[in-house]
Amino acid sequence: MISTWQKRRSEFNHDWLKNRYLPALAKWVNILDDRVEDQAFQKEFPRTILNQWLEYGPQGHLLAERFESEMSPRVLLERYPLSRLPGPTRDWLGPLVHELWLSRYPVRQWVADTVAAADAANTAYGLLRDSIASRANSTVEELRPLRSSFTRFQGLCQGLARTIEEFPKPLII
Amino acid sequence: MPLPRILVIDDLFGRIHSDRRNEERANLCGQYLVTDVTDDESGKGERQEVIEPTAEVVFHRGQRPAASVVGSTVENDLDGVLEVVRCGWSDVPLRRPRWAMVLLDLCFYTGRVTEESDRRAAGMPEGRAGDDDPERYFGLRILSALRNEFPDLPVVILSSKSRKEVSRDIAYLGALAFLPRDDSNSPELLRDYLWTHGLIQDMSGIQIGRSKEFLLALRAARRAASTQRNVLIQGERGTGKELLARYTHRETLAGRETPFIVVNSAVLTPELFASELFGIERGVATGVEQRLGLIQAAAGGDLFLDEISDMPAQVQAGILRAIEDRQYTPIGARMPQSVNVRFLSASNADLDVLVSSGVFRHDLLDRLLEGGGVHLPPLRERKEDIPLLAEKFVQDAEASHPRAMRRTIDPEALDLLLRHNWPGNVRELRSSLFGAVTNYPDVEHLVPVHLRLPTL
Repeated sequence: MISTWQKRRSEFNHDWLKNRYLPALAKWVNILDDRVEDQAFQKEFPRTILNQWLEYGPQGHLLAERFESEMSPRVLLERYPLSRLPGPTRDWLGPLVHELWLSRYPVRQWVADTVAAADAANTAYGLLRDSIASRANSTVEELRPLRSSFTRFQGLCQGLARTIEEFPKPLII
Repeated sequence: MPLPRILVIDDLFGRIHSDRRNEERANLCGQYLVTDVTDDESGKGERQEVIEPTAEVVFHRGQRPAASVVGSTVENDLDGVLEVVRCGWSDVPLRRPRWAMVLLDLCFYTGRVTEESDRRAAGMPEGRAGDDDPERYFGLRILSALRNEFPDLPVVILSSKSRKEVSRDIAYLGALAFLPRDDSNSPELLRDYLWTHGLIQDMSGIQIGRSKEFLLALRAARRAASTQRNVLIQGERGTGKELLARYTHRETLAGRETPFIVVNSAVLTPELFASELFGIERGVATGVEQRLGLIQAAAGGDLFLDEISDMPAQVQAGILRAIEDRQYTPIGARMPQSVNVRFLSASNADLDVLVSSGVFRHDLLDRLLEGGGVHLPPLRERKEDIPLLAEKFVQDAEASHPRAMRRTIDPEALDLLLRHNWPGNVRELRSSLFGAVTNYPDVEHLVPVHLRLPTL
């Protein structure tokens, strides 16, 4: 059974970040390096594609924050057949299962790493956005001096993708 | 020289839009520095240009329909995948240029295309239970089918999914590497995988051929070139072993100039081999000057021992230590000297047979093979290359003749070339065509009678 958290992770990390956003960022860096030409993309990237971060980027932080509550084996007590256990049993079993899970896996380390990666990427995006805003036309020539800021943001997005991948795929006990 | 052609099998990048280009696909090409030559994108707006592309790429969705809209139901299509692969791999004649490599996705989403799934990525379905399960990835089913039908086809996984979840499965199923989507050196990584695993022609144009058998030999040579260990090239006479040794040398260089020294093993007599190979110290005898041996001359590069099977037994024993330890003692010297040299060798005889009969040393064969062996196929097993080779040899012959006319090879002559068995291999083909130009310099058509081959 695929949880909502797993589905959201797949939509964020697989569908958006790795399959759409990172390839666009990599292509943009190649354009800055004069290795690719694409007039339509060159206009669109700094104005719209880069700013997809505003809509999707915060999902990385949210995924990390919700992992402990949504992917703990404690949630199995809310699903059939464990949901048929008497309420008082579930009251003590749930916290126990959760604590055992926390002691067995570095859950909070995964979360902390991902939050840190998401925040770092978000900060880099903000700086980049401000730098772009100070340039009038956002042409390739104007933005070429920002290459290192773009590659830094790219590296941080890659780091975020990798930390999110560290979370276990199935619900583990 | 045409660029290598890669087939990408991927649900996202392979899908077709009827009215505009696939932006995700264009971005992937811009990321990996490859040119999209899929014939479904023309006339759909501005094209991007990759300045120095590594390869041409054909995209295939691996699903039906290739173009889906809201309301469509998308299903995986293994038969369709195999048909596309056959077009560029095993059909005779090939309906497309040969695939240098296949890049294969793992997770293929199926089911209905809904408003919501279409909003996330146009034409993509919402996905069914199991699509995203590493044990049930459709990509693994494709990989298994490719391995069964096309065992020599180089397949590299291209996926944004976690490598560790599938690393064992893909190794068992014969994938050669995993190209992650989130690597910042993606163009370099792809180029490296193409060089190591792809079936690619010699871009210098010196080695002519695009048959699978020949490209496998080139790949084996490149893989051997990636180490500094010795390499043994085996093939019938006239197959071009020295050219392949030079190719191995060139592919090792990475921009450096290093020596390539050729030695005919048959002329290394027991009396002379030590002075030839190891050199002579000054003052060994009155008036004797120092003479550098061939091993020292090849220092930092390659010493090519041609026709190693003809090396006399005493010479085999004498050269063994030099090959094993990279140490030799010049005549008249007290101490051995170390040298950084790789030994490339070639033989048209079956060295295993010679070892069994006691003619060739087993320990020497082991050392010659330490970096791997390369089998160069005879021309009769790579007849697909004959038209290319013939065209090249005729042009070379015309260029070397003071007044030869430019000519075309008539279909009847080409047919004769293709039907001949070529026991003397590429060298015989070259001689035959040079003879045809020399004897008939004043014609514009090369016809069967010029070739002096038996008509079958």
